[in-house]
Amino acid sequence: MPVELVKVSGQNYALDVRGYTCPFPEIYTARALAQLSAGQLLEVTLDNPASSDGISATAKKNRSEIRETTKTDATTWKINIQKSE
Amino acid sequence: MNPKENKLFPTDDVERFVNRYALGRDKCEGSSHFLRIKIPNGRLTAEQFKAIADLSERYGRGYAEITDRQNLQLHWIESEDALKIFSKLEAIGFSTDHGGQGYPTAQHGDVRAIVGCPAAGLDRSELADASPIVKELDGFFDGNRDFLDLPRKFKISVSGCHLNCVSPEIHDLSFVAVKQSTGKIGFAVLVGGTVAAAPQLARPLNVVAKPEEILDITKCAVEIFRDFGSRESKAKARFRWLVDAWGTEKLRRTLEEKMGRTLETYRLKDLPTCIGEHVGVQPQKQDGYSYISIPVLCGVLSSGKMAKLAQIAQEHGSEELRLTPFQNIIFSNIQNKSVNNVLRSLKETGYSTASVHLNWTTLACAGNFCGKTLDHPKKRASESTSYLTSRFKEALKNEKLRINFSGCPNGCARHLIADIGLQGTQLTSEGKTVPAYNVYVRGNGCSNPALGRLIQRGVNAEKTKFAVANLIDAYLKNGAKASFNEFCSGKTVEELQTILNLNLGEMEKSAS
Repeated sequence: MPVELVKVSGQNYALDVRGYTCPFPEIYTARALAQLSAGQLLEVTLDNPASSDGISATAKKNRSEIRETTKTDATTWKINIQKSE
Repeated sequence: MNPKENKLFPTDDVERFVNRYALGRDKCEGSSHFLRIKIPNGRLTAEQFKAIADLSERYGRGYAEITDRQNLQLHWIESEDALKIFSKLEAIGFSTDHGGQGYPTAQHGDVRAIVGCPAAGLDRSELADASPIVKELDGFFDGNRDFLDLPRKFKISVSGCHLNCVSPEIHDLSFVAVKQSTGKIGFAVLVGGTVAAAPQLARPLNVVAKPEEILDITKCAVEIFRDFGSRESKAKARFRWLVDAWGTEKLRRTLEEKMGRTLETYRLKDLPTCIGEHVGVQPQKQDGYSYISIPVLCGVLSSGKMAKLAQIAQEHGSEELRLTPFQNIIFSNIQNKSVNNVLRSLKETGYSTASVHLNWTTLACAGNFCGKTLDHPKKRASESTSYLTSRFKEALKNEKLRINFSGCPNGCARHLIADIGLQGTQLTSEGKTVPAYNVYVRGNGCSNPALGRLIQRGVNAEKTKFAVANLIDAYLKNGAKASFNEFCSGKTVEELQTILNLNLGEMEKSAS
C-alpha cells in the first residue's frame, strides 16, 4: 500500500510509516507536512528508532512543532506534530 | 472519514529506493546520519570513486572513511538530500546497507556487505579467486525482501587469500579456500564468529563447499538464521547464539535437509585466522603487472585526495581501485614499467609505500560519530601510530603488528583479534570522567587461535600510546626470538601489566 496522508477528523491527519528505515519516514513526514495548513495536526506512526529522532529535525525544518512523542509498545512510536505556519 | 479527503503525495520516487538504500544514525560531531555505501568486494572504478568523492564534497563536508567491510562511509548527510544521493548511487551501480538500524527488540537485520580479498584474481599466492562468488552473493542478497527482517545483522566473507585478510574467524558465515587431499580447491565453511558483545571465534562446520554450492549454502544458512534465530533479545540474536544453542552438527544437518543434499565432510587442521594485509608493491599473477597497496591510516580520506587517487588510477592503471578490510586502497593492474611513476604520483598525494607497516594495519572505528565512546578512536590511533613510528623508527618499520582501536565493546575495529587491542571505556580522574582504554593482547594465531586477552583495564586515553610503546619496547628488546603473539603468550597478565605500566607518568610528563 502506498503511504498516504489520512484525514482522521477536522484538523487531524495521520501518517503510518511503519516498516520504513531511515530516511524514508523523515522524507514522508516532510511531504505530509507540506500538505498541511497552519494549525493542523499530524500523527506519525513509525517503528524505526533512528527515525524517531530524525523526525524532530524534520519537523523543525518544515516549520512545525513536536507536540508529543509516545512509545506505544517496544517498537512503535507515535509522534504528534503541529504545523506552525 | 471519506477516503477522498485523504491527501496524496508522490511516493514512486521514494519507493524505488526502499529496501536497497538507507541512512544510519550518527549522534556526535554535529552529524545526524551516515551513509554506508556497499562496495562489493571493495572494487570500484576510478569513475565511481570520483563520483563518491563528489558526493562527499557536496553532502558530507568533504570527508569519507573506508570501513573494515570494504565500504565507503560518509557523514553529515541530511535526510532531505537522501533521494538525490541515492539517485546518484543508483546511477553508478551502488546501494547501501541498512546502517545498523536494528530495532529495540531483535529484528530487521540485513546481510551486510560481503567481504572478499581485495587482491583476488591478482595475488600470486592466492588459492582461488573468490570474487565472482562475492559478486553472485551480493547480487542475490542486495535489496532481497526475503532477507531484510533477520533477527540481527549477518556478516559473510568469502576468500581464497593466503593471508586470510578478510578475517574469516569473526564472520557469521565464512568460506575459506582450502586445497583438499585430492588437489581440488574447495571452500571450508566457518560459522558463528563475532567480535561484538559476547565475542566468539567462528567454528568449522566440518564441511567443504564447491564454488557452485556457496550461494545455496549461504541462502539456506541465512534462512535458518531468519527462521530460528532468537528475536527476543537483541543482545542474544546474532547467529553465534543459534550456533551455540544447536551446535555445529545440528546446524549442518538442518542445512543439508534444507538444501536436499549432503555436503562433503572436511576437517580443518587449524582455524583459518587473519595473518595480515597486502602491503606495498606486489607482482601480479598476470605477467608484467603489479598491484600497489597504499596505507590509508584508519581509512580516513578527503574528497580532494579521493579525486586525486581516482586520477592516478585513470592515468596509470586499469582504472580500478580496491578497498581492503584493513581500510586501505589497492591499485590493480599497474604495468611494471609504470610502477615508479605511480609511486611518485602517490607520494605527491601523500601516500607512500615506504611507510611503517603499522600505517597499513592499524584499524580504528568511527566512534567519534556514534556516541558510544568519549574518545575519537581514529585520532587516537593516528596519534599513537605517529608516536610509535617516531620512537622506534627502523626497528618498527617492518614489524607486522596490528593495533586496533575500538571505541566500545561492540568492537567495530576488531580489537579482540589484534596484536594489541584497545577498547574504549572511561574512568574518573580528579573528579572528572575521562576517556580511557582497556588493553588486550593477541591470543590469536593459527596454532592457538583465541580472542585477545584483557591485560589492563582503564588506561587513560592520553597515556595509551605510552602503554602500547612499553609493550612494543619489551617485545623488540626480546629480539627476534618470538612473534609478538608468542612473546605475550609466554607472560602472565601481571607480568604484562608491569611492562605496560612502566614509567607511564614520567613518559607523559616528558612528552608534554
